[in-house]
Amino acid sequence: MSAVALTFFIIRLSGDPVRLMLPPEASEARVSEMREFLGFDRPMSVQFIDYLKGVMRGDLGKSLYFKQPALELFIDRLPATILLAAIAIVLAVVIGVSLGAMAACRKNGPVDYAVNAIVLAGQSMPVFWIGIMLIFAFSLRWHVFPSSGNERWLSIVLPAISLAAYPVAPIARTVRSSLLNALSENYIISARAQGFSETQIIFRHALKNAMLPVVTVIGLEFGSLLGGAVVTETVFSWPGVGRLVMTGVLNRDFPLVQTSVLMISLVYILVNFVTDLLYLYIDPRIRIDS
Amino acid sequence: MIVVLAIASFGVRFGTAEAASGDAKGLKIVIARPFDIVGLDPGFLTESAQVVDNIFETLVRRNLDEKLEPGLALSWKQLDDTTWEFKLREGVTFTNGEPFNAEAVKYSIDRVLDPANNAPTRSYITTVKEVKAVDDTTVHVITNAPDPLIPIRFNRYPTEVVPPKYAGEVGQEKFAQNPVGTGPYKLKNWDKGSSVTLVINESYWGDKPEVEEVTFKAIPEAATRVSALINGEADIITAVPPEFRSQIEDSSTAKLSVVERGGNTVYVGFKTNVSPFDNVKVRQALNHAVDVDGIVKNILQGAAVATNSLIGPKDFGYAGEPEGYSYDPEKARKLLSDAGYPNGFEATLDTVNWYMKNTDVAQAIAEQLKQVGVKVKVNNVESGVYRTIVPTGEQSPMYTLGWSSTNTMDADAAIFAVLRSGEPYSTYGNPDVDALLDESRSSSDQERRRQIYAEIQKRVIADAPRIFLYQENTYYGVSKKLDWKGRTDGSLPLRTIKRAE
Amino acid sequence: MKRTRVKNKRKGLISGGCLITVLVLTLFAPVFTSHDPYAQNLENILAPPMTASESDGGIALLGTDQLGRDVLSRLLYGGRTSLLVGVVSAILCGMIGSALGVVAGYYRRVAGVIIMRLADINLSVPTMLMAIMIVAVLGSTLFNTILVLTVTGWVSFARVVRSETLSLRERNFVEAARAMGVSNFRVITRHILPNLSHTVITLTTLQIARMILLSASLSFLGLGIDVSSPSWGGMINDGRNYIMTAPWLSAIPGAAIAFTLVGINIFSDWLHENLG
Repeated sequence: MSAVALTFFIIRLSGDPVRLMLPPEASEARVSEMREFLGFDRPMSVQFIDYLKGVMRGDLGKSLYFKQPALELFIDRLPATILLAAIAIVLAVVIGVSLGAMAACRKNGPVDYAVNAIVLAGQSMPVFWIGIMLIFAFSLRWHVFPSSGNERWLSIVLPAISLAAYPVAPIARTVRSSLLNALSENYIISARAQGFSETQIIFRHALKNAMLPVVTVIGLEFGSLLGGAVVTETVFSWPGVGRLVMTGVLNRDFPLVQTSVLMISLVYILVNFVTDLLYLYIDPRIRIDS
Repeated sequence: MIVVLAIASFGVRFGTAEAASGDAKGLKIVIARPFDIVGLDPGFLTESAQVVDNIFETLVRRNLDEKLEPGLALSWKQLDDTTWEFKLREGVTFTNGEPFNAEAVKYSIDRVLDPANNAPTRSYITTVKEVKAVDDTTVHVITNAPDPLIPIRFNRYPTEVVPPKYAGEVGQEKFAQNPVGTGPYKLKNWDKGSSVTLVINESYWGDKPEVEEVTFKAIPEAATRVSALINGEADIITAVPPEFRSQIEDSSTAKLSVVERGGNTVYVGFKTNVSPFDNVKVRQALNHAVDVDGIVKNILQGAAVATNSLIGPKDFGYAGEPEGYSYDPEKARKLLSDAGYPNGFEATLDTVNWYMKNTDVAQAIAEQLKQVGVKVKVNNVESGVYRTIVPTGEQSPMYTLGWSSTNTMDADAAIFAVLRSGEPYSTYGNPDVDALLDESRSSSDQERRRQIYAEIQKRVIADAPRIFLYQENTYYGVSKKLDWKGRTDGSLPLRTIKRAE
Repeated sequence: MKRTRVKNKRKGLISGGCLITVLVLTLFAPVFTSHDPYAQNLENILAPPMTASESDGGIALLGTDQLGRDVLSRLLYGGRTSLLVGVVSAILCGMIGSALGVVAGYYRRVAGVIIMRLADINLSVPTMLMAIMIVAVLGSTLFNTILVLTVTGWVSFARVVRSETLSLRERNFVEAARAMGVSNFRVITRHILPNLSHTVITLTTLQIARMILLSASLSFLGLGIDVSSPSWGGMINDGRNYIMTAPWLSAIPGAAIAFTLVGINIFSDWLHENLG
């Protein structure tokens, strides 16, 4: 809620939506007429109280730019972003876990170092730069993947890769260190004594226990993923909430930005909640403790 | 679970509009533009009218040479100083079956003029006092004062005709989502935030267009847009930045369509009431200090045309290319010291990303002004902020701005708003020029208007309220499968798109 | 507690070496390039790397940009800006975030609750959005960019430092000091802060990397540092429209960011192993 209050005032300080709604040659009189029409001529405190009353009633206001209920717009675009974020997370987990496991198997060997370098490189490049370079290589040079839109399943590949690049690193490193911890535990040593191969040991036994911290990391990375979505969705013209928020900010669409911030905060809370649930599911100890 | 729901609800969208190709029967194309489609009600648009122009029609339209020709009106004439008569086409119906008639025209204009509706583009037609439906096929337009621009105004999208019964029933918001018009195309499908698909209107009164179905997509990133064209994911793309021209020209799948001087006339404006820019010698000096030809050639790579004309060559009122200020740093230095600034001065130049390579051009200008002793700091302003500060006069005393006649193709739209004192975007005030501008708006004598614009042109060049720079070209990328060229009025009439031979 | 042996010397040496190279190259930029990063040469624009310039006979090792400026010297001078922004904002984040974190952890009741509420608010407004709004309101100058990064970045410090302070507070030596009547201020400065330094140092190095990335993203969205002074993010953004004709314009600064950040990340990893 306080986040919404903060947004409410910051965005009102950042510019005038009325000017952006009218054609440039509109006269000053026309501007103040429009301002009055939209109720922006009233004191900010009055506007805020009005807004809060609306929120209580479940009315988040109408987007100035799209001229539709802001909530409807947001919900319309949410599936696209969730899909992109989900595929990026799955991609990051698959790559991160396998790289992390590889690194743990060959601790301090060349493979370990190579993995470290690869995942760090992913974490060290700006998301939009990865995006542009991917378009350059795969879409322009080799015509492998489409560069934009959402018509074909293939078109999700490039945006998902560029979004996944960052979280791969923390996941891989967490998997590596918790695997190394797990590998020194008694049950692994006994499994080894029973003659299971190292690969079997890792994938059958150790990995399952190493997943717990990974879940935490995913929860933590979700925030940066949403931030990255603003940029990624712009580069690949993916019709999700990231681009919607950006459009809202650029057009000083007060109701739309406020609604988006409110909803994104809710999504955060929800993700944290789901993370906690997963914890409960994966780690039996917590269930016993509480 | 959320993920599953997301995939389920989103999955429906996949595989629908298979991109960019024509089969033997109907031609289906994809057009990619940098921005989203927000609403499709021509009376309440805040965006380019490229899409609605195909669903709705105006009384007057422009042909392939961009000259006015009959649209929904068969003819028009001025009856007296303040009355225009339009004779309407008969037998036209809206795609929902409603008949097109004089009442529909009256309804369409009235709803835009009604202050209670607060239409954003009302100012385009505020000279209209009243629309009278004389009989089914005759409309009288009464203006507040003589208005020579009425036929042009009735070519602009706020006057596009909507069906009174349907529009009244569903209300503004719904109408913008489910538009119904008389145009050659009608809305088929709107995938919010992603694309709008139009399909041919089988009951259209005019010739049947070649293109069966068109999908408008939003691709904001230029590199992505160009690669979509070259890969065949799109058939026409708009707003091609000049850097990508060669890529399109070299490709085997697409060609470049150039509209020479189809864009804004860009200039560096001075606040002529702020020292030192209140001194005409300073303003002239800065004009002599900038090498416009060099900037156009090297930075813009020929993507614009250096000009001192305020008015584009296809606009009414264009009077050829006037002589301006030559690139002459020596003379600039002399004028500056005559004006009392032998050592120059410091200033800030505001710029905004609305124009081609705006920061590069501004930095080059700063570098050239440094040579004559004027130290300029370039300040790149965020677009939304610029839209707020320029009309309220809060920008720096030197600022970049571009203006054009847009789709009116008349000098009035090209210069009035940026030269008439008191207009939000004008930082210039010259009583003589003001008087001329006012006369140009009320004189019905087109020859007289032509003279007035030539006179204004002469005075403004002498007065130098700006650094005269150039007029931008506009570029479109077009698939080799299609035969279509970009237009000066910036519209995209789908009915003019043909299959390539 | 005393370290007896430096672990993983090679890792520290290599990553430290990389970072020192980057620092030396950018700080002493004039030694390595004779070109003025601002000097335009409209006759020689978009020259590919390794071409000899016709006008002055010099060789543009990394080519020239769209205004004919030398990419190498812009890269070196631009590195100064980017590193400065990253380092200064990370240190500010570190100072503000740790101070608030210690206070929140030490005075758990009122101050702690208030500060953590603030942190929650800050977290729930997406960083990028906050940054966009601040830059849009205040304009894009070097100072404002640092301000944005600091305002959005202090939270991660505050949270970690708070939880460490909470656990330190319960430790014997702190309890003992408090029991002896040592003032709260002295307990914090003498007993708690020194024990936090390792965490804060490691976090700060990581934060530098994050801040450089974030400031680059701001440039991409057109909200970067003032356009005339070179910065890596700004260079990538400038080069973005030349991706097909002059890909090196955005590839080179991007690679510079990646190289530097890999160095920083490995180095902070190594610090963590050795300090922890």
